[in-house]
Amino acid sequence: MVEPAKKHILYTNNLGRNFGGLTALANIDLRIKQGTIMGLIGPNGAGKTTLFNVLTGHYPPSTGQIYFKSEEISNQKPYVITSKGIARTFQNIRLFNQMSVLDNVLIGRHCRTASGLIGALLRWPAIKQEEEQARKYALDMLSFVNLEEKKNEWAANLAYGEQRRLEIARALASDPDLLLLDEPAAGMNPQESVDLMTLISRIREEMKKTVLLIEHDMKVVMGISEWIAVLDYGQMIAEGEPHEIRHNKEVIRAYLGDTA
Amino acid sequence: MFVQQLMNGVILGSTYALIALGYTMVYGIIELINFAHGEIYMFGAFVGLLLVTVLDIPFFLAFLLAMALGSLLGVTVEYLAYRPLRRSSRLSALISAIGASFFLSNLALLIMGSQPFSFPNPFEAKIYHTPLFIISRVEITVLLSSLILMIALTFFVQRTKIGKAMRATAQDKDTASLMGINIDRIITITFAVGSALGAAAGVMVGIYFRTVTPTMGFMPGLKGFVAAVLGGIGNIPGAMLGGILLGIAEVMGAAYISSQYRDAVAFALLIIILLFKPAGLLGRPAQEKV
Amino acid sequence: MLSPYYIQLVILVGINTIMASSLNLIIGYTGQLSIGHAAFMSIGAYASALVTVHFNFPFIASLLFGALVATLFGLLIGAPTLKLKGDYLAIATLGFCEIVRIVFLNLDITGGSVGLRGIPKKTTLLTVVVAVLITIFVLNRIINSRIGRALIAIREDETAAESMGINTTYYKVICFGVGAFFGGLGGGLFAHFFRFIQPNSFGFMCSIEHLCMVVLGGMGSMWGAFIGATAITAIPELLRFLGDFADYRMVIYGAILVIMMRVRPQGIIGQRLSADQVSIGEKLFNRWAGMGTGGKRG
Repeated sequence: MVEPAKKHILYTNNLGRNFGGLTALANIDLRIKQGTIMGLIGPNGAGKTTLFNVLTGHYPPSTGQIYFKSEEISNQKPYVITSKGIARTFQNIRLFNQMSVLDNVLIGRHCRTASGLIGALLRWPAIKQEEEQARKYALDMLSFVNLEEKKNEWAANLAYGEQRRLEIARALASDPDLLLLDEPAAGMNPQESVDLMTLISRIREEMKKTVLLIEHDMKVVMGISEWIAVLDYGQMIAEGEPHEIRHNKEVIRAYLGDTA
Repeated sequence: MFVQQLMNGVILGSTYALIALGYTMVYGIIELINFAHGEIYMFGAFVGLLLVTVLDIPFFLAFLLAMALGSLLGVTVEYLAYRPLRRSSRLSALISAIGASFFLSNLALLIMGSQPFSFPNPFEAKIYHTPLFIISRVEITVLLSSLILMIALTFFVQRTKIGKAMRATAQDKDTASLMGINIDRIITITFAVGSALGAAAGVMVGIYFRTVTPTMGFMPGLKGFVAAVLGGIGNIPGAMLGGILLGIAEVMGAAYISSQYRDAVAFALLIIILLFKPAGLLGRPAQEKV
Repeated sequence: MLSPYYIQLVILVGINTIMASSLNLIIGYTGQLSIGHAAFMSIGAYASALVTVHFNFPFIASLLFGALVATLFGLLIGAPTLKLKGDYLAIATLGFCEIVRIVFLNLDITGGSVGLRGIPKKTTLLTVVVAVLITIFVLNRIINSRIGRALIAIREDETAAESMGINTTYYKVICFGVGAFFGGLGGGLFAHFFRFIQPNSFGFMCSIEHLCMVVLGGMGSMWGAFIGATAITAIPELLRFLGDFADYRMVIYGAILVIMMRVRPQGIIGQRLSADQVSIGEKLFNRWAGMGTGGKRG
């Protein structure tokens, strides 16, 4: 086990989560190095999405603590955690369907803006300026994921791959330090997967974000992650560089069963 | 005096419990507040009344017929107002439910007029004295029939194959349907059973309070729902417990605090539960899927 | 010149537009089903009427007072219940509306079931028109702001909204408070027009009438609330020659709710357009209401 250090943007100690009698996660000591792309893999039902939900505050942890940028965030609400700099996407795309593409991204900007009720009513120059800046930022994010031309479409009307990218743009609009992607390549064709890998690399290179991604597409995970953690039955059974994971006996057993 | 009030509370509460069961069963299966349930209760009372007074049918038979017709109405409401919206948003389904409730109560008002009807007492007005309280024959009937219906329901849900399918559907509709359960049929049966209990409660309240009006479903309907929430919505024993407790709270509130605020007791209780224990007394906290 | 009959009709349409559009903010834009909007109307009506009668408040001040008292209650009831998801809110608002009615029935100061009489007539066509314009202006500004965006996001997907950094409970309470404010304003205008109020005018029926206006016109559309309010207020008057329509009215409301949800859940004018295809009427309206940043419908 690696001791937590300053270079870790997020780390957890002995993190666990139970649902009634069921242990969904136990003894998770996750370390995410700043500025890296980290993969999180494991068979279905291993607890990957549950881990995301615990990290982002949707489920409070049953045991252990979560530290983000050296600050404990274990029992914070999701919206607080987002404002501290963690943003996520969802496995089963959750866009605001009857809002425009641009408005979806502007929602991501919500926690970086401040205008309130009085501001909405009176719209003095500072308020208008804030809105203009938010719009500009949102448009930048849209052009980053190549959706600028669709800004006035309704989110519901986008193609599947575009919706995935819109979710990423929405998350990026909150200017997170750590981006959690839940199966971004799910349902994509090979070409789209390749484009997505490029996009994720650019998020790291150009925007200097740290990325943690859950992915079943091994080509994607192995291709872009510098470090991979493997979950099975709620436990972290291995972690290491992609080539180590590829040959790890525990991991092979988890995926293929004991008989393999 | 206190024991007498307690007893009155239990009797009133047993009718709330019957209404609450209908809410809780439907909510357990399709997660919808069946607002029209109070109107099924009103309908049951009217059917019972008309059968007894106009057709001169023996009370017991009228009671069963009211349950059967109530169940038919419940299934019809489900078919017309809820089934088409099963894939729509929750908001749409709720609005449709409110509309169905409003439609039925005002239709009854249109047909029957706003004058209250009085329910003839089907039994001789006999009163039994015990050392602690007095109880009439009607009250014993109400209490006993509620008890029998609740036991029958528990048996049905726990021991029969359909009951098992109902519980499976409540847990997970998709998996249940993959296991070969016909979800539409189970939902229909749930409405049928829940509505039969609601109609039964209507008849019982008819003979207990002796008056029947088209708008009588509104208040008890709301209170039945409060009882279901109090016990933990979706939870069958919870609905029974919630009903009895609500009945006691209301009678005690009226007796010892103020009778004018009798109807406010239930709602104050509701807001208190929602504040401190939204999952209800016997319910488990809902874990929302992300 | 308009006859008094038509003036009364227009005033009623105006008051109902205020009620429907404020309820629309809660239901149509934020997706929270409140079926106790009449409670706020009732609180606003009694509070403003009482300060007019007993303390001789100027008209504007008493309207404002009524609206603020309604807001206070909106926040009090909203804060605990809006934390819960979904249907509980509906039943809690309904319960709240009943409690308010029962309390007003039993208080001495409100005149109990007899009602409150002798309120000076101060509401005129002009005041109603001004109030409607202010209401729509304010609501439109809120909807087309950072707050409005957050409210619509909550309607669309509450979990995703929270995970994108929106304090969902806070915004729901704000929306409820604003809705209660205008509900209270509508009540104040109502009291000073009819000069007589009683608790049973603001019961469940009244709440359902407001709901019907919102649903019929179109949830999440400002024009929809206006059209719904006009239709529900004026149609019974227009059909008066068919006999006593009042008898059928309530049955029809019920049917409207069920049928609209099944056939046209977006309401009469709420079309599911793509966001850049806002209707011309709405565009002009938005410009007039001071919305500078391009068309957006909830």
